[in-house]
Amino acid sequence: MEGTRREFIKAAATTAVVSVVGGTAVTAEVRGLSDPTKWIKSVCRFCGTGCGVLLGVRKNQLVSLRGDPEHPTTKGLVCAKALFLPKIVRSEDRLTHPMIRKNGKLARASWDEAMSLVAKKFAGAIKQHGADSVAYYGSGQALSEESYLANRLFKGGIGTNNVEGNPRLCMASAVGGYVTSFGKDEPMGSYDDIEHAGVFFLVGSNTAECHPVIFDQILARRQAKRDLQVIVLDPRMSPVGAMADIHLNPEPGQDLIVLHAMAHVIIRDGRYDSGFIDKNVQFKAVKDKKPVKVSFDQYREFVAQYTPERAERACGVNAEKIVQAAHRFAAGPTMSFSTMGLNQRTRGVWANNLMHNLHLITGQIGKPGATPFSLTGQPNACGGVRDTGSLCHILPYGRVVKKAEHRAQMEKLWGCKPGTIKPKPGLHTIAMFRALAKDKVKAMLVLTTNPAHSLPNASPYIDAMGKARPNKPFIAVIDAYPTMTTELADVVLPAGMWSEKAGVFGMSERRYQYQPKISNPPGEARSDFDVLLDFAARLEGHGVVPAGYISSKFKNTDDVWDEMRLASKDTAYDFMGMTRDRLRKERGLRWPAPTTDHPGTARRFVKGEDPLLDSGPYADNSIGKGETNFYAAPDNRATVWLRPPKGPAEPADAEYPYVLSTGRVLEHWHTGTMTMRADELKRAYPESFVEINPADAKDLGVRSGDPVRITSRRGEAVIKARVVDMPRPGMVFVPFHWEAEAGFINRVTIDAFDPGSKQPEFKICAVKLAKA
Amino acid sequence: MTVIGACARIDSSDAVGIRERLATLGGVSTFDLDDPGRVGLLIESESLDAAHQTLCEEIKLVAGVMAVWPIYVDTEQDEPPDSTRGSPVDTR
Repeated sequence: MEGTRREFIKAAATTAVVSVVGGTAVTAEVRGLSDPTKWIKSVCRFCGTGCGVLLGVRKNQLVSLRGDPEHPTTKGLVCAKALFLPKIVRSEDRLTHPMIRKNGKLARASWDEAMSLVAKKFAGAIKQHGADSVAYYGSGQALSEESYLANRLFKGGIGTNNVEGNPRLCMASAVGGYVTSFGKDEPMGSYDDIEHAGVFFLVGSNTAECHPVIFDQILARRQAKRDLQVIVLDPRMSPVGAMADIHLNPEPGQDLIVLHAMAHVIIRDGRYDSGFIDKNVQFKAVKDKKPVKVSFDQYREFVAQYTPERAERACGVNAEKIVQAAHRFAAGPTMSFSTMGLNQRTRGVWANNLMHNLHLITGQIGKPGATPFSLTGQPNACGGVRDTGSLCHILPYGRVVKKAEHRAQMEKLWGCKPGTIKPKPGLHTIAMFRALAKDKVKAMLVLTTNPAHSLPNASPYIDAMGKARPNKPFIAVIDAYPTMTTELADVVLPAGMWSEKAGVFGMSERRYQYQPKISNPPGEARSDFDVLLDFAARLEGHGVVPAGYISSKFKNTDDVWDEMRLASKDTAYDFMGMTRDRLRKERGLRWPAPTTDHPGTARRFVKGEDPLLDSGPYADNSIGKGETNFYAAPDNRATVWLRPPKGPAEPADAEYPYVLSTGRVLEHWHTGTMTMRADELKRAYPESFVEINPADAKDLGVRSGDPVRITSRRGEAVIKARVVDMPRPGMVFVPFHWEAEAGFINRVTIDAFDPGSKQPEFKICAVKLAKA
Repeated sequence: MTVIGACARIDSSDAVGIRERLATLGGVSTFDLDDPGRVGLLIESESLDAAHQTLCEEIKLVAGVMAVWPIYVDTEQDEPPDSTRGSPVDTR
């Protein structure tokens, strides 16, 4: 019997591997689930890579998943997490009925009771304290249509810009970097560029664990091009650093000077592209808090001070390595990948700008294999939150609340009275939760996210959401699973998961992909979209949203999608050609795609590839095929910014001598709401760990497995040590997936944020360590 | 007993040699994948810690192995429950 079981498990393991990496060879099965009878195309629910998947369905139940070999970019590959999605969806502890907190405990309620209470609390707050007394906190995991609808309801219906979402915690600095460098958000290149690159520059990106399918494509490119170079800029020797040709590992938070030193070398050694710069680039500095144009010569003088030797003294990176990296970058074709290491910083926007600077001065942009590219952490941060304008300062498709013209466009499309949308940005995430702590936000709706776990310096925000007090704000949470946040809620609304609802996800390369509904949610759970429709109708009934504003216009996500296409028309995002029928049939489409016969765009801003340069408001017939026009930017030129190198908000000091950086592991995802529900994934990493450099461990008298107390100015955690030569000396690394109280690392992290992007600095705070 | 299914990205110009070197590791067997730049790995061990050590500290040191991803982990014998919740809908 033992032999039989063992053989069965070995066969399951082999099958799983072949399924994940072998494409079509064998059907993936999660042990315990049944054989599928048909396969339906969809998109993975985890990171922003946007892997195409095939859902195995049997008796109209999701029973299996495998990579979609016909997917144009991910080509059948998915990572371990995706394999377990069917199991995760069918988890036994799914939320199946609404709950209302009574006498301190959540108790079962009907939908009508729960929704009546939510609507009453919101309407009461709006009537008594004004529209800005309520707030919405959404997610890069909601469908695009759900985020768009919530944004429409709050900004155009209720009349508050207090609309935020968890992409503020992961991608806001990338957005700020794109907008300030190129005029609009989102990358100009695509995954197609991987197959043309000669150099990969990985900046603050543990691609191997956080975007493993992309990492595999990088490795495959290395197989095909033996002289390919991989340059990694990261203070930690992650699995990516281990395969680098050049690993630049500065002290945490000191990478800006490395990027300047690379620019210094490129200009000093004549490796810049003056022809590209003359046609496409402008240079700007900030004086008296205002951007001013400067010349290339002024930029040259600016970076002249940042010699590789000065950088070495400042951050510990070998000067010769910086020179080598700069030369290889300029040789190209160079594709940069960046993610949280660059974004989760108090100077995240500047760091993104400086990476873009390198591409712009070398002309390593807008041609095959040459582009900066921000990898996204969530499946729909791009299409769902960033593009639909579901943050406190923006409106759909590149519009901002500050511009009267943009507000007027959206008010017209949404059918609002002129002046409904406020010109002042609402509360950004940290400000929103601080306002909650001060009871200034009176009612908040949280959708498909777990801020009690994911916010930095979490303790005061957990208290803000859950601590009993007179006039405590009202919190309603829509989620599919019990989380730390549902534990604090006044009302919990059970939601449909991924394969239980139909809509669109938009991933890192501007590809919008349709996911079909396979089965109904369990129990009484409803899709987030249906909950939002119900909520809107009840607010209309209370008279705090105009009658019929939502209820007369939308019945399903298809209706919303059609309005979203209209909202994109004649913008730099134009996807009028992405009809629902097309998305149902095709493996996603990349915008711009302005007409129904357009195949989508691999490279924006490039004549001959970007359809918006051929006709419409951005057309330019003065340039030839392959030439670049940054039409979304002022003067049609991208900006090279002169940004001084600045360090973190809380560097290490005598009292707190180590730097804590948080991140992820391959097997888990974010707050573990999903991956901790797959036993196999949970067992792979059942508890948290802190990586400590052997030199530091020796000083501390710590061995692997010893509990270590990590203390910051805000809180502490006790976590088992993993002594390993991955973080540089003076730095420790902790993945943030676990919620167990002793190891809950977000009580330790800092909520200082970038003044531009408002994104918190998860990557750097000062801590002290002691053997517990 | 722990079984880990994993995938390694290898230098395809030395695939035979790499597989031979991998096969010398205790509890490790290899199998073919479509892509000659990859090899499938089955790691059997008496404990998760030992299997993890093989994965993280031994396989990665084999010359020609560039990266390894665990894809399937099983450390127990019992079958998980097969939930049948959720009702069918038209899937188009």
